[in-house]
Amino acid sequence: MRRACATLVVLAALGSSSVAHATAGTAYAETSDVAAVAGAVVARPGNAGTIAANPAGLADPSEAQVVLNGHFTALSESFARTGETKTALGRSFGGFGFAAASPLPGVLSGLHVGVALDLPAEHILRVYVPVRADQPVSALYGSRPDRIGAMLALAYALGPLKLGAGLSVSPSLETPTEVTYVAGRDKTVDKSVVVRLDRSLSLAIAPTIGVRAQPLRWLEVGLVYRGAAISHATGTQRTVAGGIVANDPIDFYQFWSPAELALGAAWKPRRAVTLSCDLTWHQWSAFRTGFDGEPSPEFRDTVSLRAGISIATTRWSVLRAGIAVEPSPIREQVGNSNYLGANTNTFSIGGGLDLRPIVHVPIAIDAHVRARVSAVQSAHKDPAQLPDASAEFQGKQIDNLGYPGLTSQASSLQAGLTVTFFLSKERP
Amino acid sequence: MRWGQVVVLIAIACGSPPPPAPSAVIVMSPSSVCVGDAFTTPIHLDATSSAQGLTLVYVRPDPNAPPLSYTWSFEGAAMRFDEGDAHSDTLTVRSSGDRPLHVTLEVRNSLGGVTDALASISITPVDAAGRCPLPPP
Repeated sequence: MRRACATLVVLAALGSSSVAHATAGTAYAETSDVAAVAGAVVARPGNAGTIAANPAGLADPSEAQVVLNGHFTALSESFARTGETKTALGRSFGGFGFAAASPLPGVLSGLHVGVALDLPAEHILRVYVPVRADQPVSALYGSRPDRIGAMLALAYALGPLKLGAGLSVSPSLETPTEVTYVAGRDKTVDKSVVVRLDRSLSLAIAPTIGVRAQPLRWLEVGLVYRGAAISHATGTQRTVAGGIVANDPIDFYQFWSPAELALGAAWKPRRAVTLSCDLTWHQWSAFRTGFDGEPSPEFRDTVSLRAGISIATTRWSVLRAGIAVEPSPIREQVGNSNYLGANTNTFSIGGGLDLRPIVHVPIAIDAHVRARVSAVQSAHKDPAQLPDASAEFQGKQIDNLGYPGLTSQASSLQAGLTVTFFLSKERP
Repeated sequence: MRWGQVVVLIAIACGSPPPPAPSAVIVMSPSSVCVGDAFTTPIHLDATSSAQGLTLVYVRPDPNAPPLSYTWSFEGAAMRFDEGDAHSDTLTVRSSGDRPLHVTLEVRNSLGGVTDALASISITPVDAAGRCPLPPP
């Protein structure tokens, strides 16, 4: 009965939440216990905040829980053409997250359900398509947090195996537009143009499937596949001017994150110490430009390494640290495109307090600080691979915004806080 | 009424829409210089086709409308002003010609609306005989 009530409370919280708050896979939006170990959580016991990392971890909590989290991130990024002064491209942004997980009651006991929602502080959906294809843009940092994300997952413990599957949702925008020129509608020419805009949000769904097991008392392993997160801004623009009718398709594409396959291991050399390590393959070769085309040169797939340590200093406190190495998928930008980004190292620290043993309040608080530091990216343009800027003149005209070469560097500093509410009287 | 709805209503009441943005149009001639031009070719830049509001069609400038203000900025190749300055509606510049000259025009209307336009003066490599293939200006 208690479990059923807790489940209802979680579901009611979901239904009545007008401002959602947590972690569904959006970049930078991890909960503090995940971020503090550099995201190396595929094999670790899960909670409501690790649904996107490995939905199989949902099968671990034996009680309902609700997670609220928030973060603030300062991104510093610069771009410079060879021999010119730097242009700052940095910005700061924040986000909120809400996640909930609960075992199901009655005949469904054994099944665990979880939901998560990421809400950027500034954008529900921001599809950035530069006017020029050679505009220097950050494929790895700049716009990846600018979307709302949601995830629904189920998990089941099948003997020693914990299995989980989820669907993550990214919004897409449909924009049918009609432009009509009505001669004589007004004395001025421009006011004779009637523009009808329609906007609707649809949902793009990507699957996530995971498994977690503990083959030895001191060793846990996990494997997870996450589908790519992509948004579209599509529609048609129909222009009517007298007898002239022109239909122009609108097809903008925002590649948020690639498909990933992650293998993780967690090792407990001592009762209070857990070491974890994730090896993740990222299918960046599927990257598409804002105009749904292949970048030139294409991105390459990468393999990243994440490692984390957590030390339970007391029965109610834990310290965490992590490091990650993320190779860049961006090849040297010798052609028309100017994608910015380089190999990146992540360093994170954090800690957590479980208030249940101290003041008997069913709340845990976690915090983290995370820094990402990238190497300097450099590129030298090959004139032979640059397009002709104008067919009007003889010879090849070069107007590329990265010519004759470019350098860039990025770093980010993030601070975050996560509060977990336990919705039963069970002791930790 | 919920507190959230009250907050939304207050936010709507206190907010105001951004001012109408102008159109920013750069007309340039020539649009390319040869590599090694070394400040030889005068490049004429003209912002007078810009308009008070964003339009889908060209609008003849209204002589009675308040004037637009222009700010030109340059990146890429080294450049010199020949005629006019960074706030003129028309100006002539010259480029070193070792790399493209990227021109940004910021247009501000009397209502405070601002729009940027970007254009590039490309460079054209000389041909095998060392001649500039571009027509003379």
